[in-house]
Amino acid sequence: MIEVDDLALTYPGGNDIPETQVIDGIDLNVEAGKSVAVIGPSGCGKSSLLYILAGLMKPTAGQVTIAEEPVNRPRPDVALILQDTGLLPWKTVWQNAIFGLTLKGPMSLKQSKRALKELGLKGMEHRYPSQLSGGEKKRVGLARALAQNAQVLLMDEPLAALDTLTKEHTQNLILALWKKHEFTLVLVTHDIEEAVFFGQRIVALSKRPASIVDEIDNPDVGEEAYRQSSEFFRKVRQIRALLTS
Amino acid sequence: MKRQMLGYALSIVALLLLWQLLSWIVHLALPLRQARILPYPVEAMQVFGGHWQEIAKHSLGTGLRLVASLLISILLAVPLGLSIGHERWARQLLSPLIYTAYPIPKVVFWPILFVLLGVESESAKISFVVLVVFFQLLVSARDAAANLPKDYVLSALAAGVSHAKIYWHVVLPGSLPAIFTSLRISLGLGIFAVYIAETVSISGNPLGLGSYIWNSFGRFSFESVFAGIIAIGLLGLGLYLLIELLERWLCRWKYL
Ligand SMILES: Nc1ncnc2c1ncn2[C@@H]1O[C@H](COP(=O)(O)OP(=O)(O)OP(=O)(O)O)[C@@H](O)[C@H]1O
Ligand SMILES: [Mg+2]
Repeated sequence: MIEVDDLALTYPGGNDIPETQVIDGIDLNVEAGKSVAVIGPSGCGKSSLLYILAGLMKPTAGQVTIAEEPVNRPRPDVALILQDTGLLPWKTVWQNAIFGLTLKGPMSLKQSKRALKELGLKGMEHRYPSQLSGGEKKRVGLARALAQNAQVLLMDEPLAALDTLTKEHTQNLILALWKKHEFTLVLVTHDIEEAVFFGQRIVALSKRPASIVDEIDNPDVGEEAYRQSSEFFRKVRQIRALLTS
Repeated sequence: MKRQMLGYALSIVALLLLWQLLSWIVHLALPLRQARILPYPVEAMQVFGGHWQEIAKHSLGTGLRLVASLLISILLAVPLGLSIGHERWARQLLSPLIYTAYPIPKVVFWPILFVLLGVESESAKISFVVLVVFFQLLVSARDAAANLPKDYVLSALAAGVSHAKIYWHVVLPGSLPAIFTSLRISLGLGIFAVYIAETVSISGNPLGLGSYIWNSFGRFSFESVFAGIIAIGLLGLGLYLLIELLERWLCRWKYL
């Protein structure tokens, strides 16, 4: 589904900002319906990688293809969920859920309604983001992705600002959506447990410029209860050791 | 809203009391010949009541001129400012130009405008007000668009919104609160500018509170001068409230 081939990115710099090499030769393949968690130190280039996958930025070298097509602009079947300000404060829940739809036909509007319902946001359509809790905001972002029937979901530290319980609840929700809708999931995070909870493969990045340090298979992903198992904690320890070495 | 209305009412009373006090002091301290220049509020209000039709006509003239100028300025400055702030190449290329032109006091240009467009002409008056207000709005629209959180734009682009529609979905609504703040400042500047423009030519008693006040000065009718000042105050307050209503409607997400 997603193929990343020898990707490199350098920000050009200018006005006192030096040229910064951010990504240095990343190769990555994600099969359709699979999940990958990307983990790495702050400032290493995780968000930049995701922006390139989303077609928002062009790499300096290398190429990304999604569904066999080179990515050079945003695709309607790829959804991106950002850390916090992904929702537009001046649009209601409903407007936020549908404003990306290219075709606002009755079919897709019906699908948007279903998405809001599925995420427990029914009755909140006319609220503005400032009238929602942190967890509800994340759910609106997810509803937007479902509304556009995304085949690929890219998430940039989507749950960083939530309290532990809301976070676990939303993680369970995302897991359930992933299993049900079978989209391809790429999640960027610096939360090791989150990476282990979601990533069938966990990709550890180096400090800037980011390159892949190691890839860890994590086949047991898929059940809420995984988070309690000893295998889960073993993986967490393994990755912590990898990142701190 | 009720509390706000009470606030406005109390402020008007306070202003009148202050005025009354100052008039007293002036009348006590100076001979009547000089003290006449600051009449008592009651005297001014009597003229206001007695000549309200004439004053209303002049207020309407000034008000329409002001509203037209503000609208023209908004239509010119906001799209230009937003695109300069949002498009990186325009920001880098044009920002220095804006910041060079911004601090020049636009008053220096009025003689030129009045010679070019004709002293009596409506276009000279309106273009002078536009000139004064335009840069204020331009700079704030530019700054607001330039400082919009990048995530808003990115998430809209990622959701498939086209570059052109980003203005409608993201840049304009996100900058609107700052533009309204700037519009309130522009209202003050605009009243100042329209007053200047209206006092430039007063032969034949042209329409406008500036001309009315200036003519009243010429006739040493200071009660009329202050009746005109009351009218300007009310006009400004009315427009201010109108802007506030408009903002509460267009930026309702800010007032939840
Ligand atoms: N437009 C830009 N121009 C120049 N440098 C940039 C630009 N955007 C980001 N950078 C730099 O590139 C590096 C990677 O940024 P990025 O946002 O991808 O990191 P990240 O891994 O997502 O970090 P975090 O975990 O803190 O979110 C950072 O050092 C940042 O300072
Ligand atoms: Mg980041």
